[in-house]
Amino acid sequence: MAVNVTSRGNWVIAITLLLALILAILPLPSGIPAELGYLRPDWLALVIIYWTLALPDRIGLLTAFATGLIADLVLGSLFGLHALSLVIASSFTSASYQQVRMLAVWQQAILVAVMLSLVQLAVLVVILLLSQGSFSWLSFLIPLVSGLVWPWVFLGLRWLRRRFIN
Amino acid sequence: MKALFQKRDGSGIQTSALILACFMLISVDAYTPWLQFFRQVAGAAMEPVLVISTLPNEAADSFSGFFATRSALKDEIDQLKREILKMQTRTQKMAALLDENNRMRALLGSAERVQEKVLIAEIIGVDPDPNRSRIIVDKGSNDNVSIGQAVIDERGLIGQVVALTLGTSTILLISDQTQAVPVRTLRGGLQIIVEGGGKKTSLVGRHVPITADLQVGDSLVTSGLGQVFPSGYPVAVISQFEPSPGNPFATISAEPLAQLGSRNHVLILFSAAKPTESSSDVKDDVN
Repeated sequence: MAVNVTSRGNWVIAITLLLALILAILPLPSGIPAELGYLRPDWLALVIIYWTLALPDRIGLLTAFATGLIADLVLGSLFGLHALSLVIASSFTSASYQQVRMLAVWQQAILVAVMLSLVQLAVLVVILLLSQGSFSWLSFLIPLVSGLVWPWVFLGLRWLRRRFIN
Repeated sequence: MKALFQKRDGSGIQTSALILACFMLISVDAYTPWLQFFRQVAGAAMEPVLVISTLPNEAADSFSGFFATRSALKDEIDQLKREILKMQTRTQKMAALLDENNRMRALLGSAERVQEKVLIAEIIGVDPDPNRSRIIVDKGSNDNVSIGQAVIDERGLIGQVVALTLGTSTILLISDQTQAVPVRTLRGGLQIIVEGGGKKTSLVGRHVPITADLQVGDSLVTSGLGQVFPSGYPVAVISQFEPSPGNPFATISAEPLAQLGSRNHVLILFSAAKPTESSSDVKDDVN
């Protein structure tokens, strides 16, 4: 398995992750109701899921963990919370990538929405267990919106992968 | 040769190990201050990302500023001048009142009221998590800011510093659900606690008996209890007070005076007595 692992195009992956991070912290323009924040897709999870799906030998749990920790630093969330959600998303994906690749993009979108809802549920459990911070049921809009934008993320990242990686 | 349907061994163990590691990090961060210093240093390294993320909004602002008309700018300057004049007259009287107040206090034998120093900070980021109300400003531990300091704007209390990096600090707004502020009414001196309602617009008063002497329109100022927020700063105005006979406690909402949603400057308060270490615990102090 280690034979085929190359580092070709790693910078592309890093840049897409950085872009996802910036999209995740981009402040809403002033004067917009804060509730609209619940319509922001989970960009980091989408990008991590795509790369785990496309290059499971290179991108997986460890990348997800590291990205999550960086996200926690930047977003100021509990250290490990984003890492937890990304690791769960990545492990779901790497366990089923052979099946998921066979699905049509819209089917993948549904799967992504369901999977990210489970992740959101896990985060909810952690937040409630530790009684840290607040939680709104509107948070379950985030996985739905993420599922809706999955096809575009998928197509965009696939174009990048074919152009720069293989 | 690479197998077509290879099983990657150990990935289950790896997943469990990483999830366990996440749980440990989360609980360490939630219950101990051990990671605070690491967050300060590593957070400072992440600042460029923060700066990049503010560029679109700044570009939009400067774009609209570029096309502001001459007359609009002139109007704004005129208004600011009028405001300065008004403020200056008020401070003239303030000086006399302060002097008088201090002499009275000396007569009564109580400690002289200290004037807090302020540090002006610019808002550079807003927490994207819609469950939390936090902002990030451009002054950090390099500017002697410390955790627990109160933050105000020109109209009233905004919140307190809850996290620091070298060059930035994170401010928990009074509208956040995990924030509570001990206040008293200006009219009757009634002590109550208001909590954030989650939305940027209103605070909620808890455990206020239905017989309390409250009216819609009462001003709430910080009471200084809990030793996080210095006393006497305006916080909110009561917008709803409904004592329903069936409940022991009344339903109370209050509108914050500070402009919590704006992207202006804020003032970090430096009191003479530094906040103690325990004041970093947000909710425990006030409950």
